[in-house]
Amino acid sequence: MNVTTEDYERAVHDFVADMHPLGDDVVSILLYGSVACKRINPGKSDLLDATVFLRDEVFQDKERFLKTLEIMVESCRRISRKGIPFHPFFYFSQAEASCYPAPYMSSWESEKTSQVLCGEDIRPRIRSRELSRAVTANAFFEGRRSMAHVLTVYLSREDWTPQDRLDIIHRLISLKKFMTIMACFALGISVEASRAVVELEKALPNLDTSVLKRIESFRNQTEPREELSDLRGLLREMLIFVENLHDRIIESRRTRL
Amino acid sequence: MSPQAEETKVDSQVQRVAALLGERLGGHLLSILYHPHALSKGGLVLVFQDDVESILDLITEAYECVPRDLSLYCVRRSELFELALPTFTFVHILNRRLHVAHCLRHEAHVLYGVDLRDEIPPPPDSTMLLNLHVESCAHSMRPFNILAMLARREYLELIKEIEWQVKCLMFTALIARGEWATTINSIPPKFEQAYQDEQLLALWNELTDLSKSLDSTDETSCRRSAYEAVWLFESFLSGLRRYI
Repeated sequence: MNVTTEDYERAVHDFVADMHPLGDDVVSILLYGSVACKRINPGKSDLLDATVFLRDEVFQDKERFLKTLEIMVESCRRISRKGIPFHPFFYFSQAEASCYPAPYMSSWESEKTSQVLCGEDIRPRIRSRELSRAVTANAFFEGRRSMAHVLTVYLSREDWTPQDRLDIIHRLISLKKFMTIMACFALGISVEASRAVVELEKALPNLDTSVLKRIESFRNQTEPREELSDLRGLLREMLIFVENLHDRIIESRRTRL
Repeated sequence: MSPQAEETKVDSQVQRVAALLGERLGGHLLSILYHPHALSKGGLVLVFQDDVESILDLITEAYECVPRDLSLYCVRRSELFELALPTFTFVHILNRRLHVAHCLRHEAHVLYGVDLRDEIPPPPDSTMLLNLHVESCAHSMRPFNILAMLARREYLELIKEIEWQVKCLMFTALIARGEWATTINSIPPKFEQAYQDEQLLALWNELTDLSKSLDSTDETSCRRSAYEAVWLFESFLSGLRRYI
């Protein structure tokens, strides 16, 4: 099934309509990511980068909470049937807006990277705590071990199944997205995902980011044409990139001290 | 090792893996440490010399030798400090990795080479760890487990997942009180003793009763129980926040 930009927009519209029965219990619904930034890549971009802020009382009243949960689950089911890559949205209480996870703060800082879909514009009240900001700067080191190093299991394996191949592609795309943004955090740069590579190139001159472009072009192919050996090369190159990035971050932190 | 630690015998499979790693990577390897962990099979820390040329090839070889249920951390000697850095990450990673610095401090065995345990900085402040765990758990569980699994009607799996996550939270909460547990089954009674919080205890009991009384052939009842389990999970998170 070929999906279009309009299908994405319609899905977002339907999602907001799904939440209407919750009435005033929904304080705000915010959209971020590629749909909010109007950078939809039909069939590749996923839905639904959204956060629903619910009234605090919803989390204190069992019946109200379960009714809310049912409506949100039903909405997930409906969206997942639309043929668009889908992951569920986030939900928080209004009080949790003041202790929002720091890695996700940058989306709320600009009209260009987020939109209010419904309710009040809660974005100025979204805050992260000092602790969350501090640990965000360390996320790169854990990401290197738990997202990059684990992928070496594929390098030593001669035969990949079609499922392995899909898994590798999916993980390379994740690595590109998360390691670059986590590297920015490690360097003290607060940035929205789509700006991460540009900011990294500025902060670390001569960093060779060509592998990231190759992953992006690979992702955008309508039919995967990459040969097995090319994918193996791409994987290795990306893992080397993460190691180089790690060394540059350590060097930069040392210089700053 | 902390004074209250009861030393565990290292599993023979772990010892075999360490011997194999030593044999294959010996020239570049300074040390292999192993730590047990109540929530997993534990982890191996491989410490390479600082001047190794291609660490990626060594890591590739290491992953070839280590079974997937053992956590593996590969670092150069100068990178040992990274193991003690607290971090925010997805909860499925967090549950295995969050406690590593505490595990190493509490009980680490040198299985190969030099004893580098003193070069690992002290673990992060344990109240901060609980704070971090609660924040990360709420953030990850709600979309990726609760909504996703309910939408796919994976009711039994969700109940099990919630039970597991609550045990993981209890373990971190124990660390925050300066306590420790060596097996997963000892976590709830130790938590009960350390916190003596009737509300949290009642929630945990309700959750385990729910899990025990499940009739997997009755979808309507499983569905009801799964929604109930989510409510108990949210209530547990909210109760735990009183301690951070």
